[in-house]
Amino acid sequence: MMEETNSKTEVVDGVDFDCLSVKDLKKAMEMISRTQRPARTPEEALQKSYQFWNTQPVPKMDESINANGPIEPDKPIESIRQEPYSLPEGFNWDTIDINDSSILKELYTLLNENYVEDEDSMFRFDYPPDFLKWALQPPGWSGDWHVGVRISKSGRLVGFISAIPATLMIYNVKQKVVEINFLCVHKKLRSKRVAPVLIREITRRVHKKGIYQAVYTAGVILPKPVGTSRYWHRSLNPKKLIEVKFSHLSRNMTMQRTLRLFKLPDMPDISGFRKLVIDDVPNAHKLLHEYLKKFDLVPIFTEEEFRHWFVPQTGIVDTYVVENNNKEITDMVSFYTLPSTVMHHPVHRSIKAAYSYYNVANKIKLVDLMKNALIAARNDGFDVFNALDLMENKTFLEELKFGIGDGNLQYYLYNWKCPPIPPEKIGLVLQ
Amino acid sequence: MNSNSYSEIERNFLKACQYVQNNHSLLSSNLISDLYKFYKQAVCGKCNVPKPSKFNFNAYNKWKLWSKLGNMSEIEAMQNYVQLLNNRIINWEEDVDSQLNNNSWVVVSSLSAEEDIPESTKDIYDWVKEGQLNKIKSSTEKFSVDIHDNQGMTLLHWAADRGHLNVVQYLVVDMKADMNCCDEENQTPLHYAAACGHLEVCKFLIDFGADVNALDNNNLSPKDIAEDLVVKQLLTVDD
Ligand SMILES: CC(C)(COP(=O)(O)OP(=O)(O)OC[C@H]1O[C@@H](n2cnc3c(N)ncnc32)[C@H](O)[C@@H]1OP(=O)(O)O)[C@@H](O)C(=O)NCCC(=O)NCCS
Repeated sequence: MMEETNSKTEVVDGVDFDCLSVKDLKKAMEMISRTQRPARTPEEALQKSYQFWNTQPVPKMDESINANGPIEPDKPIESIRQEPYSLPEGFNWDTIDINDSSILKELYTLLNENYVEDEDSMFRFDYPPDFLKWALQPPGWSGDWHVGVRISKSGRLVGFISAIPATLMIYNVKQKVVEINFLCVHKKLRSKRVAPVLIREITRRVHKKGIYQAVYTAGVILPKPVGTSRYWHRSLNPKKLIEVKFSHLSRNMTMQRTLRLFKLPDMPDISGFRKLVIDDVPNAHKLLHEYLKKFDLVPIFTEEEFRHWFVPQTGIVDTYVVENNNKEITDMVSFYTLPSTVMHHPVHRSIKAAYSYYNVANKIKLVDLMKNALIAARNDGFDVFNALDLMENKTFLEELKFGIGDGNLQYYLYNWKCPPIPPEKIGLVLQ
Repeated sequence: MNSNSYSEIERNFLKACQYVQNNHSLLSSNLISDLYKFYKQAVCGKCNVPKPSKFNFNAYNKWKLWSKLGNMSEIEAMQNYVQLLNNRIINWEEDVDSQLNNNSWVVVSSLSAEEDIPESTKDIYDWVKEGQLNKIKSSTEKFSVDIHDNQGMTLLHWAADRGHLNVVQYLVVDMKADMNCCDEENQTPLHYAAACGHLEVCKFLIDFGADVNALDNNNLSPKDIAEDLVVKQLLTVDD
């Protein structure tokens, strides 16, 4: 069913490339995208002027910081702009009601057709509608913060940005914030400064509810990352990943040896390792809360929020706990699910990826706990297990045969200044 | 079921898919949507999903094109897919060959690309590993088919390991490669194909007389090291 929208039909509308040499074109396209794309390295970033971000309460790229606190003071609610920011002629704001399944489907389509950076990608994210509901409707969510932009004439959804409420511990300061996610502008509308309007508008709506700080992550470099982490990937179904070219066999490596290398035991082998159930929530919640005190940037979940984010939901999120003989929960491991559509492959339609979420190793060594998570994920049909190199993840990545990825994920705080946080001290994972 | 026209069509289709997958940002949207309907028909068969809303413009149009194909057979759809590409893009096959190795998961992050071997330094072993039958056939390099490389493997071991049925067929049928040659661990090509779960390659090798009971240095037969249940079963019939 989902594949029906997977073919990219719009990027090159009206341009017929067929008669040109494909190789020359590919080269030309690569050059164009290199000069226009956002910065990916700090060196590139220093060259950029940041017309929009320079007007925002974020640290400058070359600023060194010792403080830990807001950049601007909170604004009195009365002073917040009443009317929405203006959109270019022909577009209008629309609050996206994702409880309406046909509207949710529109959002799903927008994201699936446009939430990728690279034009010739072979894989595209496929955030399933239920995943979007999970990510956008945690306790305290506000419909007003699911902001859409439509073409007035056709009603077509062409832009989106969202905020959800959260509480963070930033070093030793507890701070109410929003998490900003799913910023997306339709491909045909790129580079027209629509993104800044979306960001200003969500900021206004968040201010109106008395929140003045935000956290967000991005692949690109903007002023100014509070931390940087890197994705690692662990093959669970190496044969399939090679077939769809997610991973490659090097010249002298046989597939036989590769399969042997990634082979995992048939069943989880930690005694008492099982799926989290509702009744575990109070104990597992405490366990995670205590554990996260180790790090300098972490979420503070209420029990209700914990239940929302961690109670297993097929195809969305999985949590396993270790229960000892006294029926106590001693450890936990969790991951969320994000499939990607594989374009134009005759056999494989999609890759099922698990993303490491929050893990607590108390009685069991983290590497053993993660190995059990890999086995459980493999048994549930996942093809690859992804993890960022944050928290204590570096202690298991290499041993468990994760391979380093080729993209960084930058962490940002809005209207907050604090010294940079190394990945080992970041304890926050966004969807 | 071995080397009849059915698998030839499938192979061409697979290759065409490969090309479109690698280049679809360069293709016109008209071509993409024409290809799309044949692709769906070939892979999913007759259109059987509910009609999307007309307001979901894209989905609706694609659905319409697909459902128009009615009962067209999968084979016919595959042929149409390839034919369409042949008509619109000159030399697409060569491009597939040269692009085979430089892709990665660009959406977020993929496994970092490994070594990039310059085309000019590639030899017959590389072409076999990459499944580039045309390059193998047109190779001017004189090669003798049963030579073992520095890892103790023959060309047929590599083709069986990678699962390139067409290369396996060529090596066995045209080049008369030894089906039961052994590597340093005494494994035959069938051991490799079995361990990697390449069902079609296993079938072909068995049909052409590969020894199902060959034992490697650990006294394991191809069946013993097969993980895939279907492959295991295939290797069991003779017992
Ligand atoms: C990210 C996206 C909305 C930007 O839209 P755009 O049309 O390329 O950019 P615009 O011309 O509207 O605006 C450019 C401004 O937005 C900023 N910007 C770009 N990507 C951004 C991001 N991910 N987060 C915040 N700001 C971003 C740019 O730095 C620039 O500001 P500057 O002048 O201060 O440098 C769009 O590229 C998109 O939808 N991408 C796919 C989805 C995606 O990657 N989303 C972000 C996930 S974190």
